[in-house]
Amino acid sequence: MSTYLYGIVAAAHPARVDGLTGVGEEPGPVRTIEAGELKAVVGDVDAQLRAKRRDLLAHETVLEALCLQGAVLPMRFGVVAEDDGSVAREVAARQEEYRGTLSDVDGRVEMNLKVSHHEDAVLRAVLIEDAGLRQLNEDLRERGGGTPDERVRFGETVAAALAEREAQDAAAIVTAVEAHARRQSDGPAVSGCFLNRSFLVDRGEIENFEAAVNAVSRSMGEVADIRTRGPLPPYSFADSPQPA
Amino acid sequence: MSVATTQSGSPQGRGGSGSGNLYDILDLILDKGLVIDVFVRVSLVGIELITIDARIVVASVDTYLRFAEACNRLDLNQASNATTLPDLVGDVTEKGSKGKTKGALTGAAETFAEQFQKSSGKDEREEQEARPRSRGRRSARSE
Repeated sequence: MSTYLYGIVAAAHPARVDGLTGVGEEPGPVRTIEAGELKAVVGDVDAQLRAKRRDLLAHETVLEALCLQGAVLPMRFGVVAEDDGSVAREVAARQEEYRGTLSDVDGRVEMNLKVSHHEDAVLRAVLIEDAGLRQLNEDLRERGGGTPDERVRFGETVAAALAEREAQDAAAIVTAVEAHARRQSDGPAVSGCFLNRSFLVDRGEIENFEAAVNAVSRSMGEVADIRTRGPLPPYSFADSPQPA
Repeated sequence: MSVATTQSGSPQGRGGSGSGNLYDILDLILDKGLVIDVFVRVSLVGIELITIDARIVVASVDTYLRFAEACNRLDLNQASNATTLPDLVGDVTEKGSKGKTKGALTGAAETFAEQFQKSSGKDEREEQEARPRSRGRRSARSE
């Protein structure tokens, strides 16, 4: 058996984890390990654990429960230590750093925005805005699409216009919501989305943050699709900020 | 009409999980969060393949041709505010020419979603689920 890590909390965190289902094919109880002035929230797993969807869900569910009870540093999915002793040792060894980060995220949650364009709507928008592109489009259409070379060049110009539009919309969205956030962090590139960004938001600001998202979403009409996820455990803010 | 799909529910009880929502936060669960260097990570084969698929960014001649075709078939005289979201979805899924029904922007994302749902719909106990597909034909796979 190995020790699976869900997250790190302060010693004073209630860490009520009874009844939660952990990762693994036959999940054991979720429990805590004392580590200096911190607690690590852990479970036992088979060292040969092969991650499945249910495990991702279990990881997230445990962390959401902890997040509702107080500040938590969520681990990335899948971190496994040899045994409880090594967890206690490693966490205690860095407790100053972890306590600092815990106080950064205390009372705050992660809100993630993923934004994509509806293709036909955004194409229509860029053509309507750009008379030159519109003329080219009509010209090519009248000639049955034009030569392959012309079509590629036209498509490339359209792609550039779309990229510009994405940059504009991303900036507008960030400007609209960032007043309600403490920090922000870009997520990994997700296909189809031109913006994938997380915001660290005070619990008391969640409603205002969501209202700002809804307002900017309305202002963009049918062109942009903004998907908001949260409140989430602060995955994107669990590492101490890198010194510049 | 754009849709801000904010989680519904009470402010205290809302979360990002649930079968319908896990997909949209996979990138955070798998790529963000705290790491302690000396500890190992469980095998993510299968799951990793899914996230790699999600990051395919298409920027190619093929994309350009599809944009050109998409522009050619747009009817700009159609009042844009008369176009509802279901109409747009219909445009993308039905009007696409020659069976290329997925828009260049959304195609890969849909593939990812389909793939994820497909794999999540399988019996959770099915062992093959987490095997690397590229090596799925290895003769060494003992039964």
